[in-house]
Amino acid sequence: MLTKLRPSLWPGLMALVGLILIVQFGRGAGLQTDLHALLPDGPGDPGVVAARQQLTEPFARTTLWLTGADSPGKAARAARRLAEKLHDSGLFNDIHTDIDSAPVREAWRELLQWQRVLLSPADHRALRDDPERFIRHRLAEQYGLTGSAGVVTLAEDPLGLFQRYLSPMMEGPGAAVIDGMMIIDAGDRRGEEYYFAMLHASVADDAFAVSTNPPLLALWQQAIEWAEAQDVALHVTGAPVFTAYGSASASREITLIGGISLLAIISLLLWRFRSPRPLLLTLTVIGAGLAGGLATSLLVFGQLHLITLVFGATVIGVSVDYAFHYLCDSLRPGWTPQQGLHHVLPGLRLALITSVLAFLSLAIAPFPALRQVAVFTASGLIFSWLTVIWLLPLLTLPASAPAPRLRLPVRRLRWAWICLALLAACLPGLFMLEARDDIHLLYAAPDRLVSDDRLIGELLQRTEGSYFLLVSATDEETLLQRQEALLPGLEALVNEGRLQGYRAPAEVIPSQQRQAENATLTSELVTSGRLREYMTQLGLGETHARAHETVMSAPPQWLTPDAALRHVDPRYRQLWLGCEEQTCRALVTVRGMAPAAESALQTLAGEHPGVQWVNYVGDISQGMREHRRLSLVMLSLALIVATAVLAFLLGPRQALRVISVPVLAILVSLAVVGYSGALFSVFNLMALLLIVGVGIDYALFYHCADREGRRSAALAVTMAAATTVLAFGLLAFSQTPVISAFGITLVPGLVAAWLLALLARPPEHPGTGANAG
Amino acid sequence: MKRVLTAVCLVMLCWPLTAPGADHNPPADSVLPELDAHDITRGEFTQTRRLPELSRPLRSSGRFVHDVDHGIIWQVLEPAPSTLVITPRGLYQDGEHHSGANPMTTLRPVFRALFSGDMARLEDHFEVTAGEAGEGWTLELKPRDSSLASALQKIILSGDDYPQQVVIKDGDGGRTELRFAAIEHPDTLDEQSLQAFERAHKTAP
Repeated sequence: MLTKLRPSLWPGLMALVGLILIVQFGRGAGLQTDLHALLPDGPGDPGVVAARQQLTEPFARTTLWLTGADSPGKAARAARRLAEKLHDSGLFNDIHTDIDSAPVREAWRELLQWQRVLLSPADHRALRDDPERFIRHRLAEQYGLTGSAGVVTLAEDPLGLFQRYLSPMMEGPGAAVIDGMMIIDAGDRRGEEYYFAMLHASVADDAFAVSTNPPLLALWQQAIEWAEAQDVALHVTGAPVFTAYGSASASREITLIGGISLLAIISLLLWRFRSPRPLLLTLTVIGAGLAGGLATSLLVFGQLHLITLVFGATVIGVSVDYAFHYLCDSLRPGWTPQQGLHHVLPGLRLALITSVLAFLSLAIAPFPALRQVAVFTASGLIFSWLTVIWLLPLLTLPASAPAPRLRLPVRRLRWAWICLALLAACLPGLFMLEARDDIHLLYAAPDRLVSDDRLIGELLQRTEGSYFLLVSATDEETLLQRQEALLPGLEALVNEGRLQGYRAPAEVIPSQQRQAENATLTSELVTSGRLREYMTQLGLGETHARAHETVMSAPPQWLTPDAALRHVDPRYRQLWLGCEEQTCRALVTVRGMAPAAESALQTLAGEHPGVQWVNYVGDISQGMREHRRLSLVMLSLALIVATAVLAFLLGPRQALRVISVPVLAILVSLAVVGYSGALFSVFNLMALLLIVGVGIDYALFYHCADREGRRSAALAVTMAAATTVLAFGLLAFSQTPVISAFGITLVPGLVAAWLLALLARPPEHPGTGANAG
Repeated sequence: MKRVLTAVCLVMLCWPLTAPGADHNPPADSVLPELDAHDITRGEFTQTRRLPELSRPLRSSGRFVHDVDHGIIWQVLEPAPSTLVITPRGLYQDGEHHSGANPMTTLRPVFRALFSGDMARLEDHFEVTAGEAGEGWTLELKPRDSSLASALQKIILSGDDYPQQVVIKDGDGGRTELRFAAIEHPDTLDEQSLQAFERAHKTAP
């Protein structure tokens, strides 16, 4: 049915594609550029997803700009000038330079009405274990250098219990506000006086708008030059800058890679066929593939990631294989369209089946973008293939000149010897492969941005957003009690120096049970007379002393989580996920984790019910590792399936010969990656899947051609390989490590597949001569 | 020559933008006394803390160490022992770390000015004005950090050939007087002080 020439089939198909595209784009489908969409679907736990979102969302639109100088005044002046520049750019809708601490202090003061039941976890322990000693320390402190923090007076809080309860909320980088600018003292990090002034600037729209419209990057560059001229340091971070950079480099790359690939194909065709007609036909094949792939992907996913298009550009390289195979066949003497199709169809059909299977196997990866790549390329190939079958026979003219001969100097070598020699050469390289499964390799971020981000994280004592303890319970009270049970273990890790710090809502929101214990402890201070004795020693006036005793022994008022959340520092509020469907959740974040601390935190989580240690990035890297292994298995499986199919169709000897081409090509690829020390991860294996598809194509085209057709098949394979190598070779120059690794893996494999396909010709029948190779 | 002229022009153009603005007191140098610079200072102190709520002042005495790089150790011996270490990374009260803004952290540049002669640095943190004094000198320091406004009103320094007294006025009416005595300048830090600084450093985040 396929081989009958029916003029209406192809236009009908393309009209359908056009309709789908119009409908999809009409309802607002678009290109996705956010690199976060490349993350796998995640561990699937709704709590983890919500937690991660809560931790990262506030920063999705915020950029931080720090100007550094040797005096706070100079840093502040530079920051003010920078703020003007940022404002003038029109990219930001909210730029703030200082912190107004008054409302925060006011909110803290309001917590004073619950002071009787609010004790810091450390004071709770100290008052329970040895109240005498605790009071002695507080008295000694009053004789030392101590100032009020300006929230409550000595009369309101003579023992400093409330002040000490507030202290975790005051923890931080200790930013001063000088000349209306937030100033961070970084002297201790540099060994000399050094100050940073800090600006927060939120982008006007979501990251998508900024990245598709890259003035943020230009502004960043301008600011760097400006800072150099002013002799101030400049450090910038924030999700919008990273996203803008990643998207801009991906856009640049797709334009370049796609463009040069097309140019190479155009020059080759003009040179070989000396006519624009085959060129136009090839472009039609590519265009039909891209349009069909796009339409199918949009139909399946609703939107498409930019990375999908970068990888999808490889479809160009592969779909021309089919076009070249058909067009080169037309160079045979006495060629007719119908007969040509008859010549190439067996090879094309086998090639399509194997390639589509190989591409679809990409979809097993848990990365949404790779699933899109799988669907995009597999469907694109089908559309290109159909174009070759349905359209090309109608429009191709017989050639005026015969196909040239290809001469290969090694063609008389025995196949088995070639296989053995290649195996021997590749084996050491395989042992030199060093796998790196790191999600960060997905991001193209310049060193400057990465080091700036690290520095700012340290200066601001930022807690990690990608790992945390997730605490769950059926009600709020249990949720708080579970956190309280965790705190001593976390404190021990801090004291051992394995953690720099942690943050848990229960530090500032005691459970009902803990509040009751606190109330007992504070009443005991009054009834035992210890509080009175302390206040007398201090010399606190009688009126103040009596008033405080009344406060500390009055019937306690309980602080509910709701009321507490309205008053506590936003850094704690952020960690409270609330209750949903009878599950309440909160996070405990950690800071400055020593390498060995992770297993300790895992153990800690294991010892407490309802506590789960989540390492988000670690989980993804783990996922990448598992899928690298899985892909190796899948690759072997695909090869076995292909061998079985080929054995059935061609016989076992021929099947082995054909399949040895992609197998050896893969070995060459892996060996080159191993020898060169290039990045090896799950993405290289995706490249190997491509080599399998293309290698089988080449071997089959050549193998399935009859003796007459070999000459044109060799030409087709050569031209396909040349264009594909050019297209993939450019991927190696990508700034995104994984894309570059993809290119580095593909090029040697493709070259090997091409050479081997031509060498692995079936045994000659007597008298056919060696004129085809 | 042309290039030099261009450069000069550019500097002139940029001058009004980069020159110190009103946030610096230009004649401050003249009011700053010239004191000897020492990397390490040890001495004794008496401290008197008065608070409006207290019927009598809290008097204490002890010894202190100032190291230009490490910071300050403030060791109260009488009537109740306690140790406060102030380093670039924060405050350590008897081994407990307190990060975040605290008025006492501003004592570090004050001590640097008094004992290490680093007077110019004071202006990074304070607005400095000369006060009235019979003999010797007096400086009034108003913190430029507005987030400290509610906690720290001002610091008054006075002395003659040597610094004599520091008065810290809290935002809520408290007043702490520090008087120095038996000041000496060893070449190296004693082992005990070094350990105290190191402990503080280790506790730092």
